[in-house]
Amino acid sequence: MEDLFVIKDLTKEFIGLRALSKVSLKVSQGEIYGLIGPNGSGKSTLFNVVSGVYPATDGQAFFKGDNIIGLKPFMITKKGIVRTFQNIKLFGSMSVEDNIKVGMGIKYNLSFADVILKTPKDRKCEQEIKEKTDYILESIGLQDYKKTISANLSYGRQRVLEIGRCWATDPNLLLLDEPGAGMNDKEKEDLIDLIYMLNEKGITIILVEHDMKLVMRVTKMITVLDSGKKIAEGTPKEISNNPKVIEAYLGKGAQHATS
Amino acid sequence: MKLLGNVTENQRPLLWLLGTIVVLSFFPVFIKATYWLHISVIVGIYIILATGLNMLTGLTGLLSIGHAAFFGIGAYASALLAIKLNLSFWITLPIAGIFTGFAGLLLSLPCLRLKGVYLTITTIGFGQIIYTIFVEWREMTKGPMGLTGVPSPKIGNFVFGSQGVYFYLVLVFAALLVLIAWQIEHSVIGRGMKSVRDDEIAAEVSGVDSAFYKKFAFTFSAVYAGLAGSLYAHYFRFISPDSFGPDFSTMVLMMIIIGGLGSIPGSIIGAVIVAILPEALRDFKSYQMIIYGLMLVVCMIFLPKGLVSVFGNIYEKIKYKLNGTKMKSESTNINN
Repeated sequence: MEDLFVIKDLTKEFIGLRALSKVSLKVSQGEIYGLIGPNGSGKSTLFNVVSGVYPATDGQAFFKGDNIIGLKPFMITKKGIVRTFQNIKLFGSMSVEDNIKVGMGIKYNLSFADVILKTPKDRKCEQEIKEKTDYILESIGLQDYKKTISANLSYGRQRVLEIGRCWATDPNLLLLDEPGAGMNDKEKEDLIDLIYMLNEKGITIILVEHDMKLVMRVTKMITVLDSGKKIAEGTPKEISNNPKVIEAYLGKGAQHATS
Repeated sequence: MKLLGNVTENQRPLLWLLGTIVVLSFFPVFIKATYWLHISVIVGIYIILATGLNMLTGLTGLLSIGHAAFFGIGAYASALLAIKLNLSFWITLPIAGIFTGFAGLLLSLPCLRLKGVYLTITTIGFGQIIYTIFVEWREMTKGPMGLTGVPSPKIGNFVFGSQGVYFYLVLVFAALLVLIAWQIEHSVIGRGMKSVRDDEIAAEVSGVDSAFYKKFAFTFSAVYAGLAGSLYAHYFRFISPDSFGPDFSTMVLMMIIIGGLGSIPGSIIGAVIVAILPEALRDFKSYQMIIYGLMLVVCMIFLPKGLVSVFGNIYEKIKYKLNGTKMKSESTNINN
């Protein structure tokens, strides 16, 4: 399989803290890839760097062969990488529908004159945006909340809406930062269905998640980070038996207890 | 709504515009008092100003307390071009708009890196600098004495001199500019601006170029202020720095806060109130500023979304009641 996304020796230093040190990984087209590690191990930092929110200290990240490090976040999104946030970031004062429409705006190049005069081009675009938005809302199960102000949605639905907004940008690679946090079992089941559905539509997914059951179930390959370093990579089965990983999560001596 | 039934959603704003112009053009026919016509001209100019600022502060979330500077730049640019180069109003007006737009673009550049309070302080500083230039650059602006003899707009031999005639001029411009702002608010661009206001990082990762939208918002609102300034200069035919000082920046901000941040109807309501208030409070001249301040505080506490939210709530209630009865009748139909 072709490598869609390759990270090479990515390093991120904050003053006095090395949050990522020389992390490398490869994600193939169509994969659901897991990224796990204890709190503070650098998972979210990795997302922040590759999505352009933080500048990288060193290293490269290639997406479809192009280095994306140094690009602004909106350019990276235009290239086809989009992400969610650990602490949900929605457009709180806007309706559910408009949240999706913002993500959709990326595909349309309308001039100032088009917008003011409502030219046929503008009308056609708005019509298309409307149709696609309805389709996405239906697919993620939020069609009944179209006009609801997004800040008033329940926590689980806000997470789903954020994923929907990502989907609206028509990405190749979706980075999910703890999508299952704060969800109940039913919502998690729906989330897994949603992840599978997006994957079937050809979207490659990298998943950061603390819920091991969820990660082990959904992903095919997993990388484990600890204190900013990559300590293991492999299939869920290999990872769950890796002594280094068990040590990172449970501390030394835990191996005897588990075995 | 039945009346507009055959009209598509896209044509509706245009009809509103024409309707408003037609209805309001009867105003001078019934109200002969030049005093009230004068107030309506001011209202029109304030509406342009407030709508522009609302696109920047309300819609894009960039709080500016230096808007009087743009208003002044437009007024001085227009007045100087007319006096020194003898250009007609129809040329000075667009030039004033474009020139002020450039000033807005320039101010937006340092503001791209600033957030919240720091950005606001920068706009205050900008307002002060421009105000000082108006006062001190005496060879050009004649300082505190002000510029006199700004010509009235003309078409052929027809002069827009009296309040009654100028009213129509301002009415057309205000209606047109409000319509343009409305179209932008309800478009890809408007959604981009709102997304930057709500969460800049989320907007960026959703593919919105936040720097572009900030520059656009600054330029756009500056153009509006510049056009308003030009209309102001050619109406009063005299301008002095006092009209464009920091006090006036606060007044413009007050319009959109009282009316409703991020709402175009709110800008209009706010502009009307702030224009009429000094007249209503004429007997309490010395307490005027205190009353303004109190209004602002009361609005912030009880009506954070401005007066427009009151009208909005009433509208929602009526709609709810109508829909409620409609749904009832539908359900009885099913039963039958």
